[in-house]
Amino acid sequence: MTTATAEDFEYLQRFIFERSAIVLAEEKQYLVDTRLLPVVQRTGVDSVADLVKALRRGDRSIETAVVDAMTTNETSWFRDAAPFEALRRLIFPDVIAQNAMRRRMSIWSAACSTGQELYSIAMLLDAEFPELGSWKLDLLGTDLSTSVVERARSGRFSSLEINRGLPASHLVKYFTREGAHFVIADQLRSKTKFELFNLARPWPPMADHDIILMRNVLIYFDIPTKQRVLEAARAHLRPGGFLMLGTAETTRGLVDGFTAVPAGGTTVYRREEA
Amino acid sequence: MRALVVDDSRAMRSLLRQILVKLGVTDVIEAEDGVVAVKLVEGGPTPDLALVDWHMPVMNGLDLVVELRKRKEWRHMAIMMVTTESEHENMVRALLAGANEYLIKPFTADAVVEKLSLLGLHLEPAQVGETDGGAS
Amino acid sequence: MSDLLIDTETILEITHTFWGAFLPDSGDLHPGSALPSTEDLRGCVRISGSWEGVVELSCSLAVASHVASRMFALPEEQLSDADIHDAVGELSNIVGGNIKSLLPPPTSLSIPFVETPDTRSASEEDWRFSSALDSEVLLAWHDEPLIVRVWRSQGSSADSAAPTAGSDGDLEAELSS
Repeated sequence: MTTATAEDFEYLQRFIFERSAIVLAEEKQYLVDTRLLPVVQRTGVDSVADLVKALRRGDRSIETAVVDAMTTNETSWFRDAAPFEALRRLIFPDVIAQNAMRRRMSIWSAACSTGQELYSIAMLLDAEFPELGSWKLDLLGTDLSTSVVERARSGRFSSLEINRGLPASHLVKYFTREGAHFVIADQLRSKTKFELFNLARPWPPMADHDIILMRNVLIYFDIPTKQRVLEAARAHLRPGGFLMLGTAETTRGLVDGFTAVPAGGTTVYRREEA
Repeated sequence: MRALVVDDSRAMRSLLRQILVKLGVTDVIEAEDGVVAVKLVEGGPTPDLALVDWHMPVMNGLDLVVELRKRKEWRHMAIMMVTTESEHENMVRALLAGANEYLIKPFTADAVVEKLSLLGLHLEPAQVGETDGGAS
Repeated sequence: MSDLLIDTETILEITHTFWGAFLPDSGDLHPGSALPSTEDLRGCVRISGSWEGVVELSCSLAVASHVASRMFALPEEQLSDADIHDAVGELSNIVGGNIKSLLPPPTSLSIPFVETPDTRSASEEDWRFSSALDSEVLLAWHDEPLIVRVWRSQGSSADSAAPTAGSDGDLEAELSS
């Protein structure tokens, strides 16, 4: 029996309310299994019921992940807005200046899910940095789940997904409708690559990136793993490159070699010179 | 903040009103077609936001957008289409006519919040509890 | 030909999408063998242009009341008949509107018309006699039927029983009330 019981649900209700003041209504019980399955996969426990057991034991590393999974919205385009402001105002101009001779930019969206984050970046670049038309742009998206990576590759989205934070002007400019779905323009899709990647396992060899986005994925890891992942991220960032984390996340106390830079209403982390 | 909801379905107007009220927008006026909508806007404080369906009797949503954009004093009104109409050419027509945003039916409450954010209207759900954001 | 344009898979997906968006806590809508009955309410929208026909959404009073109750935020006992018909009409508008999106442009969508067991009249029966059933998707919610049918008009268009949307095109302008 891998699904959560009514008792588990009650525990989760109290647990989530205590941590986020969000009331998990009775009829949301069906959500528990759907929302917590990815957490089960990422943290490596056997089942949702085991996850709740871990919570009861006071396993702190799992707590944040559970709260986030139960209370967070589905993937939106240009999620949280502020990171994209940071890209627009600070990061892209900075990297463009740094790479002026090389005329290349490499961006990695780690934990890319169904691709909205990476495609949002592609749209931002196309719409607001046309000078990069002649540059070599490597846009990489990776995730743990095969089905999610395949969906990201297809660039195909339902109308429910397309409604989520995508400016209408971008909808008409970058998407064509195919049946009940919307497909992103080839011109953007061809700049992206989506692959399977498990951040918690040893990383395969990889060229350095200018920008790494690791938003809301570190919360799934315990501290030693967080440190390993952040150290690996630093190692794969060009000096002066940028790491972007989720709103409540930080490198402080976990890894050296980064300078916190406020930008666009959020904080981004610049890799210091070696 | 005042919002105008234009849709020939009372059920849909009710649904949108509920979402707006939950976001703290309590001044919501309703119209069942474009002609009634124009009269309403003429007759009171200009709405800050208009949610407009496409297919309606008497005057449809596209023609309403054209009408609303004719008046200089109403230019600050944010207009969002809320419709099943998703043919590319038609979406472009709506945006060119002056609609600022476009929401495809069916939609969730979360989607409405995010679209309103894009319009510069940053509203928080007034009540805790909707972790999934489905329109209720 | 039409089967390629409007396959049952897609109709299923469209119906599930609105159910999940507007009624997320209601329990699943699943492929069902619940029998339709003459007591069902039927919301219809006419599609015209490069494709002519009607999308019909048929459901039991139980389903209609549940949907109306959600949309109006009223307990079912407080719903009027008009409320329930309106909800069925809007449902058919959403499903029909999304199905219209699958068809080659240009097409236009009529205002929904709702038939109840009491209001079925001879002229409303007419449009079905001059149509062929293209697709049918049978769904059930707690054993209550919800059926989506796509009817394609045969031959020259019969009298339109459906009031049409305002100024959506020359034809509509002529026919609008």
